[in-house]
Amino acid sequence: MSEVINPGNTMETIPLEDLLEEVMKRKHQGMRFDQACAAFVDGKFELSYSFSDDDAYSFDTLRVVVDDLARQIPSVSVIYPCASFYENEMRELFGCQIEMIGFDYKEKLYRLNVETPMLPEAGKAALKEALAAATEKSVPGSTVDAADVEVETDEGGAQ
Amino acid sequence: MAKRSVVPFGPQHPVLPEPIHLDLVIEDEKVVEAIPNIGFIHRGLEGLTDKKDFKQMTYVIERTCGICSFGHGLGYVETIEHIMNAEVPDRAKYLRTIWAELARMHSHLLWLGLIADAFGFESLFYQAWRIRERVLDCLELTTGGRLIFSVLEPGGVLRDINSDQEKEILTQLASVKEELRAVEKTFLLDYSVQTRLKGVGVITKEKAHDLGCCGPVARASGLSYDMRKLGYEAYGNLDFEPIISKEGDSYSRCQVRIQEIYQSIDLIRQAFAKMPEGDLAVPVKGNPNGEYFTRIEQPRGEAIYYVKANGTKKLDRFRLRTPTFSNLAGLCEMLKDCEYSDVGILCVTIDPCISCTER
Repeated sequence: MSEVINPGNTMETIPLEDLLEEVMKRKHQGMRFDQACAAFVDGKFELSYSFSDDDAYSFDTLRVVVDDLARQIPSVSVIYPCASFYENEMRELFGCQIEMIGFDYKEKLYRLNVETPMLPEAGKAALKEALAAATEKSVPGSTVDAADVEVETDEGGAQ
Repeated sequence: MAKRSVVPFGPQHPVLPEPIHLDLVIEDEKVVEAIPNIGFIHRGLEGLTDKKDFKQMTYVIERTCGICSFGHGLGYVETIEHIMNAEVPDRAKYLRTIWAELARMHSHLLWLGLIADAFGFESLFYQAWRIRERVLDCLELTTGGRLIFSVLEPGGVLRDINSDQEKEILTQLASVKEELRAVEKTFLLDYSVQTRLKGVGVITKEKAHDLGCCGPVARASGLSYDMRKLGYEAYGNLDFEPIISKEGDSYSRCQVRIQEIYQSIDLIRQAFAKMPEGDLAVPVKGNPNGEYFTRIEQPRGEAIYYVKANGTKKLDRFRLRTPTFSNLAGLCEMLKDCEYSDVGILCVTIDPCISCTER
């Protein structure tokens, strides 16, 4: 019989601020970027970033819980360029506010007509509210609902 | 400096088995950069967790793709079984292994046909698919289906393989081996085939690792990981080593897949020889509560299944990371500096499954 190598899975929950540092550590350890995915549980985003060591067959997952749905999430594609596809998917399907994705499809990776289809209705409303609050915070004194803002396009129309 | 232009390639193209669009930045006949676009067949299968219960999801997930259907079902039920601490009977583990290897064989033979078609060798395409029919017959004989099998359930399997069926499978596999030997010579030794595959689309070991490539694409570049070494199902009781090649070109990818067909035949024989008598399934009661990532080796490479369950019938989240999703970055790398005429072949050499990728 050939040797079985199965060290099992590990999962570590880390604060969002430590994400890039922890990912960089794994890059330096020579780990392969295996996957990233999002889930929406109890009104929060749960982001999972998995890495594997191909000799030891280990599978380590970093878990980040994001309470504030409008919070900017740094892209790990600056460290692992292949993470771009995963991050585009997380943003398009769930609405995670991932910024500076290396290869940005601008929420058109899957060309969907429905916004954030993997979010339940309550999640969509919470995300909209959080984004409006974040916009107001960044523009002090503004009373305009960000969702109602019409953006002028080159053609002069509104989006 | 030559003028650069952008040439759209796909999503409909004679050589593409499934819809992927590439924006190719071309300088003369050389590709400088390739930007992939998918999103033509996104179905949102992962989102069905809020409509189907976790047992019904087995059948939904099997239908993600017609080629990797067995593997998708297997990865999913393994995840559920791990969360629910279900101990699958040994016989069921061996049966699952046999079907998984038959599925690998039919996937690789399908690929051999597609690559032959891509480099314009029609008779070779027919030969590969003719051999594949034998494998599909074995699957039909034992499961009732040729592409979607529906023989898996959390806790075990729904069908057995009797001794007559075992004899028939072993006879068919002997024929497959013999016929593949003849076809293999053309794939690996024919001058015109070598011209189209050797040195084309090289991806180094380091690049393959950095870009997260997996499966035959990674193994053809010298990376030796094969998730079957994790020992899931009956693989821990079978004797095999990952098949690797070092050149990292299209020829190596072809070589690895052909050798893996022989390896699958060997694994099926070993599995039949060691398969014990016993139950086919254990009852799985209650609902799953917890989360887990499962990795299995699909024909196209490592697939990852994630389930997060909350103790009710419906899951919080199911996620499938397919091998093609992981190999897309590798494809972009292969296409850099290649000849425009090789683009079609290179797309096929990663064995893209866009249906799986878009789920």
